[in-house]
Amino acid sequence: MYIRRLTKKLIPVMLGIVMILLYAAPAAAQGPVIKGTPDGQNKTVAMDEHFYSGSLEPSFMSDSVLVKTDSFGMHFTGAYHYGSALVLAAYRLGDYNRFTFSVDMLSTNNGFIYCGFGGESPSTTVSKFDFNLSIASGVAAIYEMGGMDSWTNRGVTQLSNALAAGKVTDFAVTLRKISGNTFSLTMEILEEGKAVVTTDFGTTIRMEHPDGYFCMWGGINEIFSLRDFKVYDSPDHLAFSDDFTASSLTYGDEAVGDSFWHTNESRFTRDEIFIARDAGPIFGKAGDTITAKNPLTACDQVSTPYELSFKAQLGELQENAIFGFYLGADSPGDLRNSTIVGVSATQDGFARVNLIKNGSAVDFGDDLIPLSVLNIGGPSIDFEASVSSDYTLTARIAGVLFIFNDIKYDGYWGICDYSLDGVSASDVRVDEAKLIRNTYTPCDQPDLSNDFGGIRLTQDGVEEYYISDRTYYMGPGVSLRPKGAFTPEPSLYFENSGSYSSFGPKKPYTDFILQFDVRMVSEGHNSQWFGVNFGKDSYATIPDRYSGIYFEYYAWGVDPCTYMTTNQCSFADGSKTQKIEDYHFYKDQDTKYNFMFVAKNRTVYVYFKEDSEDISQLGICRAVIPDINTAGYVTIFGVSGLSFDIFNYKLTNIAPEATGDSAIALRESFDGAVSDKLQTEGAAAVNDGAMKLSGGSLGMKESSRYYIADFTLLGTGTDLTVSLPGENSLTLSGDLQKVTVHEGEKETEFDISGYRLSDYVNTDFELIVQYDALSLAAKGVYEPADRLSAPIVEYTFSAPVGDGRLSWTSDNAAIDDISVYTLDSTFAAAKVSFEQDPNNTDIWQPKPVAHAADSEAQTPGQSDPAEQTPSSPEENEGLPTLFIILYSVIGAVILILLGVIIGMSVKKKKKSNASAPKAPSDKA
Amino acid sequence: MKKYISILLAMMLAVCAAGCGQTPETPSSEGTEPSAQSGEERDMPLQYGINAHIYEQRPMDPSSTMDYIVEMTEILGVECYRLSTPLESMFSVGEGDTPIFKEGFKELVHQIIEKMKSVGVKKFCAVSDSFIYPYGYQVTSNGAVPDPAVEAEMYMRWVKLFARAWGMIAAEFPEITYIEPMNEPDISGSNTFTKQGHQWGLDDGYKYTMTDKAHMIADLQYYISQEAKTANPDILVTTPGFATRGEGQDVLDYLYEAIESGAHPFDGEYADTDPDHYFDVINFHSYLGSTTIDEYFEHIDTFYKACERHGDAGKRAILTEWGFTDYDNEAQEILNGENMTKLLEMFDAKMPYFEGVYLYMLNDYYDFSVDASEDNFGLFSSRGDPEKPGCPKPDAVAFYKYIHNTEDIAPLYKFCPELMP
Repeated sequence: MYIRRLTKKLIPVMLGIVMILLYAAPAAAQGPVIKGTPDGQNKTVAMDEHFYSGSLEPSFMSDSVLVKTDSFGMHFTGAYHYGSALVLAAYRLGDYNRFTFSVDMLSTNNGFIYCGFGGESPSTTVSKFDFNLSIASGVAAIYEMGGMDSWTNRGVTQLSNALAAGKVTDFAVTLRKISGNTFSLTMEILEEGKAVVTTDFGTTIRMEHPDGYFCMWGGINEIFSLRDFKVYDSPDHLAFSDDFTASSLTYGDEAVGDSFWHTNESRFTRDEIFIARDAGPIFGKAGDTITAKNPLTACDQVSTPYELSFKAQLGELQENAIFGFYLGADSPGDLRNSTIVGVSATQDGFARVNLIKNGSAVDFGDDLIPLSVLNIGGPSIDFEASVSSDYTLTARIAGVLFIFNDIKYDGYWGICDYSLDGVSASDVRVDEAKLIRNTYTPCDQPDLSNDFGGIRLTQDGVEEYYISDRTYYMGPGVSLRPKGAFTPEPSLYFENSGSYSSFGPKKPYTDFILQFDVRMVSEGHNSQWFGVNFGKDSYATIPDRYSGIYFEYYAWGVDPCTYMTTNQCSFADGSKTQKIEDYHFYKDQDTKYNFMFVAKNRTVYVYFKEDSEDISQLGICRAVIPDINTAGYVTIFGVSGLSFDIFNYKLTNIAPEATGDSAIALRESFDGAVSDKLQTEGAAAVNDGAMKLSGGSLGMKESSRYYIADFTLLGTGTDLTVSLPGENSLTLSGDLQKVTVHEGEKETEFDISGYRLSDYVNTDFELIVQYDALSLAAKGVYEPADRLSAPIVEYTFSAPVGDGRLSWTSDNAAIDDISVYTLDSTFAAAKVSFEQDPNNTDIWQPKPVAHAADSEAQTPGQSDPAEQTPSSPEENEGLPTLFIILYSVIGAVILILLGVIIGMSVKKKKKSNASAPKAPSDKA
Repeated sequence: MKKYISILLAMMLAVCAAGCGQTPETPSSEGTEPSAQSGEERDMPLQYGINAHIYEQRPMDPSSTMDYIVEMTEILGVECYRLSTPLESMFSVGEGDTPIFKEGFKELVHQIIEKMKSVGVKKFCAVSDSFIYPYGYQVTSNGAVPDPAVEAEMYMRWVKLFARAWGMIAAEFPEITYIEPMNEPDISGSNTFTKQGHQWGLDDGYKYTMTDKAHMIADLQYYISQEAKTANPDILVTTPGFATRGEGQDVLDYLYEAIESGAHPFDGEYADTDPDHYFDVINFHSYLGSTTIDEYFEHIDTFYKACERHGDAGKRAILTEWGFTDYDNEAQEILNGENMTKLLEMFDAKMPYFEGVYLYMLNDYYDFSVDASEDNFGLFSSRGDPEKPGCPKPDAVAFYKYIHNTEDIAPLYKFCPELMP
């Protein structure tokens, strides 16, 4: 990795990178600590263009660049729909079936692709196929199907080097009848037509539909193309062949007819599975440019508003042609006032990285990279760029990093072959252009906590446990325990959990602390788990569609234990599953466990401990899941018949928008009466809604141990000391150039002058104290919240931090907007009782009835039916009598007026006629 | 002066007469005829329609291909067809909650309409028994509805998406006479109009109250009326095809009450309490079942007269499902034949407010089975039945004789001439 330029401004970026690397390191004994601040950042794929249409549409435009098309394939775009698959409608299974096909893996989520066998019809849902072959990079397995959630493992084999991203793997799968309905299955991986891997899984399969259909589907975000598909019904007879040049595909409800392929349900859209050629725009003429149709817009809500990327297969580079991308153009293809970043050839075996701003080359120092990294004439390389709200451009070309400052990015962007001499051009094929937009999702939802012991009286006057189903979603199989002698402690009961058994708030959250306790009721079995989903689109959907973490009972050939497994996300070390060494949550039905999940800054931190253990054990972070979407609904779930109880549910909103004190969080803006969780000594709130410390102190009333504390420091000039539990504290110097951490007698100074905090009038700080670690982050109050993602101070105490009061002292500093979230369950879950059923609150509130004019204003486009077709008897029949009378009276008045006018006119005419001489023509 | 006064009075009378001339007593043209009140004489002939599941649309009875159903409709000689346009099959939903026609299914509907028109069908009642959802919104079952109490914004997105889809159908298929936006949302234990969490066949929880259902139906009807009439001002929007039984026997009252409550449209600043802005035609289903003919009449009449109870007397009405199952029982078949004639006579004599009645349904299932009741609603046995392929049952014969006033039933036996008595 090359880092070409480093300014003081880049220090936070560097620190951020270091932090990321730290996350990636194996967890230390106490585990990683929370970093940064919540930002609620959403990643949205604004463009994902593969040029399958054979044109630049719909993403790009160009006057000169054409799209080259070549091989055909069946494209799976990573879309997944429960039970949906692509069925080979043109072939029914027989005694001998050998399927050969190539899988061109464009991108993988390290999940599976699946072949299903024995579907009754082309419309049969996946769960009703007899069995499936699941293949992923590194492993293949056969599962007998008993529904989507009930697969019986019938054999596993290890693979290597199959289905890796960017690799084409040739498969041969042979299903052969042994006798009756008993079949064997072998799978081969081929190279140049010969098997290099063969596995027969060592099992036989009984088929309910031996003359059924074959299907394929992919896991979520498994993006691949299926090519050159053949079926042999005997070792030497080709029964079906499809190179997809003249293939046919019908969808869902469409009649299958003679179609080769059919999607079994109506869920796959034409954009999700389709037949298309591989294609990509070809750059080869001087000035060739393609421009994205949608320009970028300036954004200061997040640090990195946009990330763009594309793949480029470089055939040839020229000295006087720069191939790359451009940003900030005023109009499509107009490079004059834009910024261009790209590569050109040199004469000495290196490539030059160029930065062109407003038509002029900018010298940014060491700009040469070995030509070899660009794979000239070889496979594609990646061009990647991200733009920051402070106008920093971070670019990677074939993995080589460049950082440029003062880059205007708002405006049109595109891919270009910028000719310096008007003649020279590079030879490049482009594919897979992608644009990610990062946006900020504010979240002001309230904190929630519930010990499930809230009581209401039934109509019969009987007490029962109750929670509002307008606040919480309780899926099928989830209920409150009945009140009575058999329920010594109220809880939420997951009984025989099914696919939809989940529990959570009916409002979305972005950054939060989720805490609850779990105790098993049933004994665990293989393929049973409970866990938490994050960032769901709907609170009610099944777990495997969304990011989440599972705690899985595991006894496949080993002593029973618990594994942590991620879904649609990975742990910080890239793994998707980890054995939990010190805990087995299924070991008995008596032990209660405390869980905590901190979702911040698109990262989830996982904590747990046995209930009887010291609270300090909950400060140990057991796992980190980075780059996970947490904005959405968050639910606890169980599957596969597992039964367990949940206790003491708490969900604390730690997004910056969260306001107001609650039972489980302190939030104080000093706009009124000060929270009773705080106490002051010599400090006083001032008129503008802040707390001036004036030689006194402000602190938490109660002791606590681990917390996230946010506060705003108003102005500078006076040291501010934050007292921590024990003999520990932290002092911010009045000039904001230095931070001193005090651990007993030990003092450690940190120079923070590089962050130029004194440039800001008011500064937001986030202090995190967790187990034995302290981190402090800072930003100007008007900067994006995610600026706090890189701490300016990190310190590790020599021992875990104990209990104590958090407080602020200063001679003259003022602070505002304090939020304190404890991570060690200091605040108890609330018991929420109801005098009346909150579910009976009527939402159908009457509103004023519109007058005619109001009605039109309120519902534009809708006019009174009588006015629409005034001549229609049907419409008029509904007119109320009053309207008819009114209508008649108005008509009468008009007629009267007309009559009067006509009468007067006639009179006048008569008069004039009487006086005028008769013209001869009148007679005539 | 006296002369002026008499002229004025004459003019006012003339204007009043002109205004009053636009009343229901005015002779009406086809398609816009007003309904007669209960007890009045029918002023327009009753229109007869049929229900049938076409295999290409809904793979149930394999022998019920489009061509076969069209041919049987022609033989039966009905002029109305209840056209299945399930939103889930008709549309995918794109970003921005944009309904996108599924071209294959859309073309299929065009084909059905064209073929039905070619055999004399003049009126189509388009019905959907499925929902579509805002882009990215996931539900536990396809009958679930975003809860307005907790997801108000999503609820309105859903309502407006639903309405947009119907507007597109109205624009795409100008042949459609009636839009029946939903099928039997009022049925007790229904799988439609449930709360999130509901799963088909697995639980009985997650239900809305009938009051809430009626309010939600009101919102849907309001926006569907707007969208559909913008696309096609002549189209008639009916209420959902209410099942009218059990919990649903008062659903029309609930719907009127919801409209009268002043709560709709839900997202509006002002209320619109005019029922005409919600639906043009009352639409419901009613089966004789084990009730007597008199009880059947009373049930229908009581249900219909909700419009009178709520100041909307004279509302037009259609019955989009009625008929008989025989449970594959010969004695029941004969009884059904007798009852068929009685009901047809009763529709004519005692229910002048119906402008159309649609029999459920054309043929039995044979290779596809739901249950003994559902499989045997056909006027004809399934063409896939090897013993009596496409053979008319007594109720088919009774129906045919009645509506065509003929004793020549030979056309009904086209596919089983050897079984003709």
